[in-house]
Amino acid sequence: MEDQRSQAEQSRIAAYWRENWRLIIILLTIWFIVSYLHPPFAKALNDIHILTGFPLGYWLSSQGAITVYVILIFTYALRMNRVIDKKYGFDEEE
Amino acid sequence: MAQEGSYVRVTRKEISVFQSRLARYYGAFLVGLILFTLLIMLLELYAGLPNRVIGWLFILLTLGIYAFIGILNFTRRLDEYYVAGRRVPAVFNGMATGADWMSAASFISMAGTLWLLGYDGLAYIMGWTGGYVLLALLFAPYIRKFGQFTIPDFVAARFAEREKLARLVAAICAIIVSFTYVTAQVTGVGIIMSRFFGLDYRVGVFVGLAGVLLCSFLGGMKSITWTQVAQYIILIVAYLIPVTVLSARLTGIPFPQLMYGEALNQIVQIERQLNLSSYVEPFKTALSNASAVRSLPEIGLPAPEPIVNRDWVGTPWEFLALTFCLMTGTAGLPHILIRYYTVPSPKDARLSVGWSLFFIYLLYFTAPAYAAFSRWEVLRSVVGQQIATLPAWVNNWVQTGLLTINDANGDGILQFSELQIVGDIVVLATPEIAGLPFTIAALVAAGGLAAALSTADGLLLVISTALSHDIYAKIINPNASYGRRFLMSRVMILIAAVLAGLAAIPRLALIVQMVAWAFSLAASTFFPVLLLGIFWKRANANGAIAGMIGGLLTCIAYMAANYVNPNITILGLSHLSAGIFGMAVNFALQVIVSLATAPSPKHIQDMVEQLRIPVGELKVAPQPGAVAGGED
Repeated sequence: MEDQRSQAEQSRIAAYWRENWRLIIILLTIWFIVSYLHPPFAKALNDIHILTGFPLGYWLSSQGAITVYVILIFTYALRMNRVIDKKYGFDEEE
Repeated sequence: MAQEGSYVRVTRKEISVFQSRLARYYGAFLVGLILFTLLIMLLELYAGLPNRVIGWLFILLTLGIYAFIGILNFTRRLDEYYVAGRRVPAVFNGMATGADWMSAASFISMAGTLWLLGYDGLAYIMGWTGGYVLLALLFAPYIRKFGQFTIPDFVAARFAEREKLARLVAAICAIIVSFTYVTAQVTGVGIIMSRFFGLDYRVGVFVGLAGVLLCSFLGGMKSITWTQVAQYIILIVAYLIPVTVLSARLTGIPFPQLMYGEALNQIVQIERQLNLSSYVEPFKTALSNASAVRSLPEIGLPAPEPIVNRDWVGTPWEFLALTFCLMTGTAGLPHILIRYYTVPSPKDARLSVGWSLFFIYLLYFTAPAYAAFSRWEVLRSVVGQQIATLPAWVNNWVQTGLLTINDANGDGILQFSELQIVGDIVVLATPEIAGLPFTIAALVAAGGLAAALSTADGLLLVISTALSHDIYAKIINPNASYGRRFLMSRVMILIAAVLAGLAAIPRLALIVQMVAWAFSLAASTFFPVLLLGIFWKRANANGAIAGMIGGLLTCIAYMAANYVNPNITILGLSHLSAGIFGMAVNFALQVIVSLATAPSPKHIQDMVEQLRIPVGELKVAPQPGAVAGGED
């Protein structure tokens, strides 16, 4: 009995951890793309102008990437706190 | 109730009451700051208040506020002294982290670096923000769940088979990383004091340090936290006002972050007419070694050849490597990591990293606008003009030596190549370029001072806790009484401050360089150890200790070798990116040594499992004697 309960508990934690990891991997992939994949093409991208005249390559590094970083962190925090923690019963406070 | 947990738990309700009270206090503070600035400005414009008096009013007022908050938060409780009682709401911890993070380098030098390096300087913008994603996803919630006082506490508990050695190595790494960083902050304080308030540089350093001590000496982390929130408000207001006015003046729209696109466009066109290399073109500078030319002769070594890494200029490689190094370094800096001990729960820690980056973002999003507008202004109304009729602000800054004009061809007209600037001028001169009264320049100086002091606070606390808590109370004298531990931590903060001041006095160019090194050092030591410690149960003490020592030594060796002789490189990387090698060695050693030796005992692996659960307290009490909360 005791064993079964702790086994269920174990698999609940394991499933929670897998889901956490999946979210981390998705968000880190986006982080990697917006950080490292556009600078090599910055010279070509600079020929495109956006908004008030920003060369695209410059804009991606100076505003695009860092805006995405803020969104990524809040996405992680809100999804974990409000959805995933709840789903696995880790939302009770005290 | 203090016996069962490591601290007195606060409820959600208490936190939200506390939070709305804080919002009222700091809201009133913000309004007061704006009213004060307006009042002084009116006095300046209509009553002729002299500049010197304005400067002193700002310095005394801001230092007075920091001291007031510091004294208000006097504490005799260890959990308040080390982690602000773990009741800092996520948003306010975000602001405090913002101030803790943004140093004199971010506030004053960042925009100038962008001015000088163009696209290549954006490595700093991405590197110093992208690291927070790693911090939020990989470290912050687990550090909070662990819930002790210092980062060496975590390393010691996770690698408890060799608890003392792991703690000692981690504490030494924390001291090295923080000390390289704090010296630069103290230098920044001295420079601002001497430039704006007419103090001697050395006097400025010690007046500034006195300001730091006022905040941290009495209330430790508790008073540091609440001063940092005030400092954040001052620095962000001071940073945003001048460039907003400049944007309105140059483009008609007071939204610099959006309007500098136009400035970039104009810059590119003017540069094309003048046959200059383009500001927005990537990968045209070797990112480093320029400073070695100045700083090595000061310490008695021959200067290296200035141009290096020819093969690699023009490729994105060094840019990407530096960005990565700064990101991983950011996630591994102890003075930032400990800020997430101070929030009520792991869930708050996740959110709080988001708020931290948001508040940092407000400044970093704006820094390139400073650079673009001032470059546009220089190209438009300084370059190509008669030297005799340059704008008044140019002549004012020539006197400070930050701007040099040398009419090399003697034609009486200023060519771009005849103009040289020191990067710091970009932020410091913008109020004047925008035609604002001196009051705003004094506010900017107060903002720069807030940035440098708040970072110095956080760093000195890390150094003093590493010495007093980790090395003294946990290794040398575990039976030390409560009062003695307190005494030690205050003595150590004093010693650390004096040492940082002494290191800043000679004012070596080398010291500014050291900020970048702190990131490489953190990337080589803490980043790999925390990452594997949290996510890889098989990592053991032998691996972690070997990794930290190997990473640290590799990083220092590469930095020293490349700095002294820039021809020594691996893959064309300069000393700025030395963390790449330190980190690689650290990871490799940790994996190899861990696998070659026995796994950590079961209770440690259980603790690692428990870190994953975002609610409740850690059940395995990591160390006896870590209980805090009550009076002596």
